[in-house]
Amino acid sequence: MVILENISKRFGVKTVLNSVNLDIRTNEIIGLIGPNGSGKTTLLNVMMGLIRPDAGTITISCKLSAGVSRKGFFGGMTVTDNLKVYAHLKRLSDSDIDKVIQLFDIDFGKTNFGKLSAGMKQRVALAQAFMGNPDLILLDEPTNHLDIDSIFKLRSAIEERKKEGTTFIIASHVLTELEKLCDRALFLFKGEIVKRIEASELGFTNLEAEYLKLSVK
Amino acid sequence: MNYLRFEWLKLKSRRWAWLLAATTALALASVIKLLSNISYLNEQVTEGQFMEQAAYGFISYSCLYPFLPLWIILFIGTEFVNGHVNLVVFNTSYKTYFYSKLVYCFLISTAFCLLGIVTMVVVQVTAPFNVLLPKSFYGIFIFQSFFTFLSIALLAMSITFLARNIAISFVVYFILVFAEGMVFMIVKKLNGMELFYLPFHITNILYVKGGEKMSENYYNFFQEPDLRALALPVFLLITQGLTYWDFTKRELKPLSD
Repeated sequence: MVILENISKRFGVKTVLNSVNLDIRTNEIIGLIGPNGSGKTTLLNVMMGLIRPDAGTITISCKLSAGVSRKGFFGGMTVTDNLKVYAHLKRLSDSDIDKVIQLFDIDFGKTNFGKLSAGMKQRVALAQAFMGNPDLILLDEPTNHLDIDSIFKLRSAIEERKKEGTTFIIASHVLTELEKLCDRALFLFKGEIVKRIEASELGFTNLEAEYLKLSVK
Repeated sequence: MNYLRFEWLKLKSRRWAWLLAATTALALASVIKLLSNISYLNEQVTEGQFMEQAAYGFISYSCLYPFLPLWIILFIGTEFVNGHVNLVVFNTSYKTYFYSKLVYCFLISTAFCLLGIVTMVVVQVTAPFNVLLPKSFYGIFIFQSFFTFLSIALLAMSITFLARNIAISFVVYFILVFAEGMVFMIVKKLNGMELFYLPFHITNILYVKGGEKMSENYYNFFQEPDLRALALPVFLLITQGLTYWDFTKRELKPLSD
């Protein structure tokens, strides 16, 4: 559904992505692992079309959605109105908004987005990403600022959507969470995918130990 | 995609927008009403010029910083700063976002035009004497004010798209208006030449002679059409074309926390 071929990107003299190749298949959850500055967010932004690669090609043949940031919402607007704006943009109905409001237990719909705590904002950003029926959802540090209940809700939402056929790419530092959810794991170091752990190996691999091995190299 | 509904949805949902709208309406209407009466009482304008002076004042004041440009720069600038542009472009396209902003400029220009009509009616009804107006007055006023507001709005929009930052856009707008006024005046004094084709002069051509903002220059475009006004749509097409080109060529900031 998404194919990245030899994607490279430089910001000034710094190479952020170096010949990244990736074939994203239908109905899988991919974990993207790497230290800060390794290129995870840039890779997601390239897939979103917000950053143009200097080299390489991207082929996208599906409907994408993204929850990569708490940005993009209006502080002086209520949560429900913010979601309405994006629902209109994605040509979705009010019932689609209701579904995600229930999914992420958003009981603060009438509060202005600007007055929310970081965790509440994160839930709104996730709700926006889950709205409608996207084929592929990109998530960047989705558990950031979330309380334990919300993490459980997010996990079950991802599993539920996967059953319905949605694919996920999750960039995260919470390796235990990724171990529970992912079908495949990719390690990104200095803009390069240095290791791929396929579904067949994932059950026998400790991601934390693998990460430590790679970071020592 | 219904651009009008999309922009209206955003506009009406921002609570502070209603406060700003009320302030804008009240401030503009009262300033025009007050100035018209003062000018008349001080015998600076005759009864015949009274409404023309008010019309000139309304269009001219609306184009000042705290009014029309504020609505354009503040609202579009906020969307660049808070990452809304990124999400719109990601979910739809650069074209969709750009078109929706053209619609927003249309929406704001219409609102200012409607406010202008209300203000003119108030000024007329509460005038210190019985005002007799030609039938065409309001028709001409709507034409002049709407297209002037739209031109200024599009110019402010271009500046905001280029700067992608509220504060920088305001500074650039201020410097441009100031610098253009200075250049126009200096060249006119030294050479007697009128640099009519400067951005802010060309956008004023529909209501002031030669685009030079002076109350005595207010004129009826249909009685004495200035053919140089034909350059205005060409100028706007070029600036919007260049703005769109720059918007699609320059990368947006990566979305991340």
